[in-house]
Amino acid sequence: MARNRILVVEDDESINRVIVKNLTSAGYAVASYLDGAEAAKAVSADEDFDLALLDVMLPGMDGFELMGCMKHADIPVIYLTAKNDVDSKVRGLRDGAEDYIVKPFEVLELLVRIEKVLERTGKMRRILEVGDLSINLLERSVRKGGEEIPLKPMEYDLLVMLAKNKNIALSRERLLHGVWGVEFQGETRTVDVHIAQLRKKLDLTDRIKTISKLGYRLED
Amino acid sequence: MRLWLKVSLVSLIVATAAVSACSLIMLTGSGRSNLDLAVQNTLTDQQVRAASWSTAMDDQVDRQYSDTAKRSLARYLIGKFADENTILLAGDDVIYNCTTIEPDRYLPISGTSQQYVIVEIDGSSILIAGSLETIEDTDYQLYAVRDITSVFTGIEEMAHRFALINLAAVVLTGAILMALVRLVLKPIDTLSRNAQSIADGIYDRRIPVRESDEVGNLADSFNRMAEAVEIRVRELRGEADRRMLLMSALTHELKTPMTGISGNAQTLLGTKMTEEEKEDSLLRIDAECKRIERLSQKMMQLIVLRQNGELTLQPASVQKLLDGIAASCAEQIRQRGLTLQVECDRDVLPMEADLLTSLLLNLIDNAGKASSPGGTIELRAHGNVISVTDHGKGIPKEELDKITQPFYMVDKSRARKAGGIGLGLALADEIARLHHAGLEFESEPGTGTIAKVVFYEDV
Repeated sequence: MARNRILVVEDDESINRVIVKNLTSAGYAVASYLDGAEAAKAVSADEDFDLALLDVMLPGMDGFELMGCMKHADIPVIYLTAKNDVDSKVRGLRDGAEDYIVKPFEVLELLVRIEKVLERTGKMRRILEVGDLSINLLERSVRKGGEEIPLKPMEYDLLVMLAKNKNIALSRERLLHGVWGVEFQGETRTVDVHIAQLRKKLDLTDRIKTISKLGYRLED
Repeated sequence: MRLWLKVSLVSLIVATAAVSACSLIMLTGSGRSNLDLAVQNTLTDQQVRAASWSTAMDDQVDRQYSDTAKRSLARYLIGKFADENTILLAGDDVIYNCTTIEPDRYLPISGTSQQYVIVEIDGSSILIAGSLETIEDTDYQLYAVRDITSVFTGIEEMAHRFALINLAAVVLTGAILMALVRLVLKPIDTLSRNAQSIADGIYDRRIPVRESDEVGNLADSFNRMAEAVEIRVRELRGEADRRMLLMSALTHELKTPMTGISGNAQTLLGTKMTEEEKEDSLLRIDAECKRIERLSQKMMQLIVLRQNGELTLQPASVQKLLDGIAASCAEQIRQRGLTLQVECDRDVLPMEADLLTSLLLNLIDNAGKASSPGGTIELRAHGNVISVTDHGKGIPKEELDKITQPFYMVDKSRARKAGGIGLGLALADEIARLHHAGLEFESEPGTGTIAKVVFYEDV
């Protein structure tokens, strides 16, 4: 299955670039537009998007106006906006948006929300590919160069979390919470131990990078 | 104690005292005259009797008569003139007495002239008047006795009646006084209630002024005060609202560069990037920081201008001002491929030249952005109006009212790319206000825009 395609419509060039860079790194196919009307044109020509990230205040057509096109093309929407008032949130969600992110936002939060919406709407791709690694989310199996490699459940979950955010560093705390859950009382050393196991079993010593002061990053 | 009660009570006390004093004076006067009358009557009575009796005695008595004979004659004669109130003594002997009193106890008369005493006998007031008559070597004392108790009881009765009348008068006067005073002071009560509601924050409350007396004047002054308070409060509220709007607009406006900075920083920190991409992110962070800096500078200018109540405006040559402006923006105009025409038929205007220059440069800059290469911008001073006219794309009608709001941009993404932060016209508006002038815009999409600075006080 191909990579998930995401439509980004954000008129601030700097923010647009940041989003595109991070989504691309994380393995999404991205089409980005600075103008609402152009985005609408693009969607009517090619409806094959799994998700749209829409700024609310846009030149051409604003985010709320774009909702019609998105519904027509069956594309779930997450709004990105600087407006933090309840009214516009309510309006956005009532019109059918899946989620609502207020600027300034964290890149990792954006990735998690995109992932959740894709899972909820059933558009999540079932196979993650990182270099020669292939992770089948339905079978919970991992193949390296076509050969299946058995992993323990926690090692598998950790690998999936790293793969879903590939090329982006995740802190030990975030990994601990994401894989072992918020209630888990263990130490971040648990993460280090499992990372070491993954590196050994999958021969990923070079590709799971230790990022100083941050955590770990799985690279292509 | 309430004012109406105080005024009423004081008035009532004064009135009661006055009425009582009058009654007392009248009572004493009338009592004395009644007594005098009774005394006078008795004295006259006694005098007449004494005269009649002594004349008769003189006629008929003889020196040779024995004492007994004399006394018999005296008794006989007094019997003719006497009534039941007469007593006649000869020396210490009682010759005639029809009364119930014992003469020797009450009759201390000495000397010859007529005298009287008032004595208290068995609860009655008895007036005894007498005189000494000497006839043929014998001393006689003739008395008239009169019970004058009724005179005193009359006075007493009158006093009672007066007291009753006074009491009734006091009660009646009191009631009328209270009613009147309350009526007179009622406007003060209304005044006080309205003052309370104004104090509680209902600033649009006014007191109805009916009378033209002191209370009416007070109410009138009060209304004027309330109006001044209301105007001031409205001003302050308006100012607070404007500040609030500015603050929320600023917060909103800060979010975009902040998102850019934090997004780029996070990407730099965590995401795998090429050297080229890293450099691009750093450049973007730098650009966003500069944008925030520009924003804060303009905000400071706006805040300073808004805080400035008054500028010192100096009359200066308008021609010189326009020439200076044309020189400042010549390069920019040339780069955009435009022409600037300057016309001036106004000598001087009161101004703060630097600020007014910045205002007009801002308007020219906007006009330049709206125009296409080859266009003309006209800078004109005519009468009390300085105007900047362009023949560019114009502003839609529904946007015209909003363009001086802080951070409002007609074409947001285009303005951002050009480095605009949406404060230019808000600043221009403040500068105009400090020049006692206003910004007015006339625009037709596709035809162009006229931006006018209209000076209200034509000095």
